[in-house]
Amino acid sequence: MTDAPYSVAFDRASVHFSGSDAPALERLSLHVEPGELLAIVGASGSGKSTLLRCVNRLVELSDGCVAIDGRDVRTFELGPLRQSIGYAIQGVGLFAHLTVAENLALVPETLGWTRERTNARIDELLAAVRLDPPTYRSRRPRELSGGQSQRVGIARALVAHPRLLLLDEPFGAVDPILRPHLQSELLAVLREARTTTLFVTHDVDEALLLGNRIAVMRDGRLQAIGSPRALLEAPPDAFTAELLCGDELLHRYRRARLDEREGRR
Amino acid sequence: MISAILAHIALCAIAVGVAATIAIPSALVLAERPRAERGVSALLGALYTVPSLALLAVLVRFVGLGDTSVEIALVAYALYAIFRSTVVGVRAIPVEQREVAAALGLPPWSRRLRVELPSAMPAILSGLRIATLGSIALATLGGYVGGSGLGSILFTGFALQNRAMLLEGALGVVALALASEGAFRLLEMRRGRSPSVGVVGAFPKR
Repeated sequence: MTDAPYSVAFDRASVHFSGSDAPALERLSLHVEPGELLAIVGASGSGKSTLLRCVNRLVELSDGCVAIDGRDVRTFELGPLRQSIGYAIQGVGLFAHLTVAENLALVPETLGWTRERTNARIDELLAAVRLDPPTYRSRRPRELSGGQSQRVGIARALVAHPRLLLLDEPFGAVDPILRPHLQSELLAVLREARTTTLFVTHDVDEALLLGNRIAVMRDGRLQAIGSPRALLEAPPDAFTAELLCGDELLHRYRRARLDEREGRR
Repeated sequence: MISAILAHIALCAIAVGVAATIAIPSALVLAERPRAERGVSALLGALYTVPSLALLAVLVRFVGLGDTSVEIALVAYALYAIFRSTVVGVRAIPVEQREVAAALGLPPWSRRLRVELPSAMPAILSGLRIATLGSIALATLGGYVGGSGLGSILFTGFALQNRAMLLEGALGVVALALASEGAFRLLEMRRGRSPSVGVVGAFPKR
């Protein structure tokens, strides 16, 4: 891994979709350190996904700027920019007409990797997400369970050593029993990958478990940002308190889990 | 008879092949450009509505009697079905899938060939099926302008009032049409059995 993780900076970034009065993103400023895992939480329609998609330019800003390593994303060539950023969405989006290995090989092929290098990387990643390479390489997405497809989706996002990872509710479609397992697996894989990660989720517990910091979104604005500890101990406003802490019991439970998480490290 | 059938098959295969080579790549590109696509569709549609005998008559004036005129006419008619079906097939690809392909940073041609073409294949196949069937029927008119194929038997039979020849030609055309339908049926069934295309687990965002 020769390439250092990206830093990401939003500077008064705004997005207005045509046909909608309220902006999807309104003058949002935010800095993500290299190697950081920022979890983004908020209600549906709060602009979480839009925030993510501004970075790889699936959505173009109406105003303001998003910069990677201090450089405006609009000055990058689109293909290479996206190839250096891993992206996985809810439900993964594996191509059903390609096998697992072919899905993973799409970006390496584009980058002109040799077949040996691509294959070695595919095996390495499948093993990392605990899918036995000889068994799963030639499977079609249809033959995978929900959890397995999620793993392949994350492996595909990581395949070309991305310097930034954008994950949009990657566990959104996984059954709750499987989630904790996938979450801890993701943490392990990310630690290995040493990349910057923006992680959108509507699951507060997931954000508390995974994030170095948590950004709370509301109506296209950044409502609060801080470490899980800081936000849980002293939520800066009523909305954040309501969202993160919930009632007394839930609050206590979440703090206990956070203690446990930080104790483990 | 056998040589006429083979000539007929060759006429149609070349026509559909040439038309597909032109129509599929241009449809893949133009599917992203609605304005240009509408223009080309209108043009091909207009060409499609020109009566075949009239088109052949014009072609014979410029190209002369024989298979070349027939071939040009066949290609002109096949273009429309193949072009439209490819455009429709590409447009039917779910937004999520196009977005994922874009987000991976695949270059345009790789995205079209690796993702869009296979996903649009069921629609493209149905376009090819219609174009092939149309060509088999239309190629008989070639007999009128001195082309080869089953049309030559039909028109000779007609001129000579030879019922046996007429029947022979007509049955040949019917047999070819049925064979082509059967072949496409098989092809589509085989695709139906193999895992279909699309994105697995692409849920609409809440």
